[in-house]
Amino acid sequence: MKQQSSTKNTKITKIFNGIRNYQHGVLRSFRVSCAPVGIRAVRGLYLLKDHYPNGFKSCVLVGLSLCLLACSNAPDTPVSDFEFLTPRPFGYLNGDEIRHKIILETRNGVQLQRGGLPKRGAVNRWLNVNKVEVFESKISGGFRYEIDLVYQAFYAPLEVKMLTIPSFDLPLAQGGNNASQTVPAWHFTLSPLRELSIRKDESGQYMRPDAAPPLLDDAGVVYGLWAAFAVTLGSAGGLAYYYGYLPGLPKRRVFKRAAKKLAGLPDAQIAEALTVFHQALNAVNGAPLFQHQLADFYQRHPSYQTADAQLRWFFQTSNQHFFSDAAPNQTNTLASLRKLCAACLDKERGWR
Amino acid sequence: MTDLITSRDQALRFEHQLNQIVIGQTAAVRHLLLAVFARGHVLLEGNVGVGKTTLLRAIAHGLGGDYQRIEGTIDLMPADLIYYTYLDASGKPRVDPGPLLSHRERLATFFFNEINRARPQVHSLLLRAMAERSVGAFNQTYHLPHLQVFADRNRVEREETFELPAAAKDRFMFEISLDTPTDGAVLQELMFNPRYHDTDRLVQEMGSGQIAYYQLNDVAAGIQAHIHSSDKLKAYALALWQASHNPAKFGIRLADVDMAELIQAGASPRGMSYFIRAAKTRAWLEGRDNLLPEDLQAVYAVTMAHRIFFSPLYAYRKDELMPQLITGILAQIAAP
Repeated sequence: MKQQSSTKNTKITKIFNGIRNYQHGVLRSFRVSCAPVGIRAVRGLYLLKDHYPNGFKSCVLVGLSLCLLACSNAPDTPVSDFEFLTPRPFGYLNGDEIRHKIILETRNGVQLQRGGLPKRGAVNRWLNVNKVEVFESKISGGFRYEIDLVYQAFYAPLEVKMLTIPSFDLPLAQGGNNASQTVPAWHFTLSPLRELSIRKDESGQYMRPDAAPPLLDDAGVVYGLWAAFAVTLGSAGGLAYYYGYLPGLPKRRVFKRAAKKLAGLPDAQIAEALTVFHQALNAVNGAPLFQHQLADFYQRHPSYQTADAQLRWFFQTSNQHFFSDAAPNQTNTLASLRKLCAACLDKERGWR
Repeated sequence: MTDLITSRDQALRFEHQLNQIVIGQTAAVRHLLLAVFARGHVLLEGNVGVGKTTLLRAIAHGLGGDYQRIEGTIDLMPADLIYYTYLDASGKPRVDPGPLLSHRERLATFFFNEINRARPQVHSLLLRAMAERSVGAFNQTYHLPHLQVFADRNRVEREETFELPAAAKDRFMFEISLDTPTDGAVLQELMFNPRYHDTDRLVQEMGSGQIAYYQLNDVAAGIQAHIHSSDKLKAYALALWQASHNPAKFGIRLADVDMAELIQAGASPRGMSYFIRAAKTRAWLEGRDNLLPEDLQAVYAVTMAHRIFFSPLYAYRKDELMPQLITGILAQIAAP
């Protein structure tokens, strides 16, 4: 991990910039309004020099001098903030990449001239620029630039050597005015891949592979994997049971089978259809289910409560068909029964 | 048809009034009402002081016929039911009709208290009166066309009692249990409301003669003719009957019981006719003209429990096993 550092502490820089901006504003207004008054005051003091004690006059003069000093014209720099963020300056080897980040904030519409940035390619015989990226955003009164630079060093030293990424200027422009911000040179050390001094001391094999790393303790991960596998298997089994996919557990497939049978029955076989649905309800209930037992049935199978009206219709239709002498109204009975069976199938699967 | 509808309304009002007089016994009142309109005799079983006599007096008062009550004792003889002898004011011996005959055709409700204390000879006399609704005495036959017998069997005491023979039990349509109510509110009402302390006054609150006792036989016949039963229902009723003989055949299992050895005798054909009569009466009370399985289920326990006889091996566990068997039969047999 490269340790990032900054040429300026960001927070301090901001505080400093705030103070500087404040001073600029205050001093500019002070220059306009107070300077003539100060000059007149000094002139007045000179004329009245004999009427005041020397100590008082000295204090007034020092104060006025400080005020006039403040009125002196501070320069309006085009850059309001400049940060140069760099990684650790040591521990690099031949071929390592070095990432620099430059944060630049301008004021008064001053813009960065991108043509002046380092170009991709060789900077010198051992330094290459691999990537240059600029992110621009507007801030109040100017622009903010974030410039990412990726260098790659191709230097093969025989011993630890200090190298320097050269300084360059960031060109700035506002209308016809030009300025620049210097990015300082950056020094770092590069270590050799093959240490010659070791070669002198040690006989035998010089190029050796690294010691094999010790294996990490993966027992926890393996246990976790088995646990996850067990949970997955259990969940799959639960879902299969819930949806009635397990052939050995017929209770969850009661309405599935009933729906299949009902689908294959012709409209004329109402008695057969009613019997099929009776048998399905009996299977779910675990015993023959009669209409007056519905309340108890709902207590044990609450999901069927929502189909109460349809189930009561079914029992009344069944009673009328099987136990009444009156001719039952068979219009749409089978269709309604199939619909009821589909609703019960959903409940069996826990969907509703 | 119109008469049946009117009678039904009267019957439901009658039931409502009975429930106002004997509170907390809704199920027993419904069964007694079914027995009244199915013209069946009733064997009552329950603890002392739960309201059996009050209930029967209220029924008798509501039906308007004559009410007679006799206490079963070990020295009660059959003749005591038919006549009693005494010396009149002039010192001459006299023979007057006993409790069974004193009211003749007007006798509607006959309450035999603690029937299991009476001797078997008394039982046999009563059986004829119950089955044929007639009694032979004084060289003639006395007809009691409106007689309905309610017999009470105290379940607490077993000493000096004569267990009713199977034939005697079979003549009762229902065996109804009257238990002490468990609802706290009902018990408090019975304790603190003075209305329930004076049973004579309580019985008088029952409207008299709402349903004339002498019309009951016709109403009952009308009900039996009016209510239809389909082939499916007949098959269901038959299965219920067969299950009382051979429950194992219908997949009924009881814990720690060899089902093949359990039953000594199942329900009799007479019992099954009572069963269907009671079920039809229930269907009528529910406002239907056809029998449903739920009608059969509603009266199965009270009709069957005293008709199924366990083998001696299991007879001592009857109180435990009989409810399980009845519940098992009703829970296992599907209709359709």
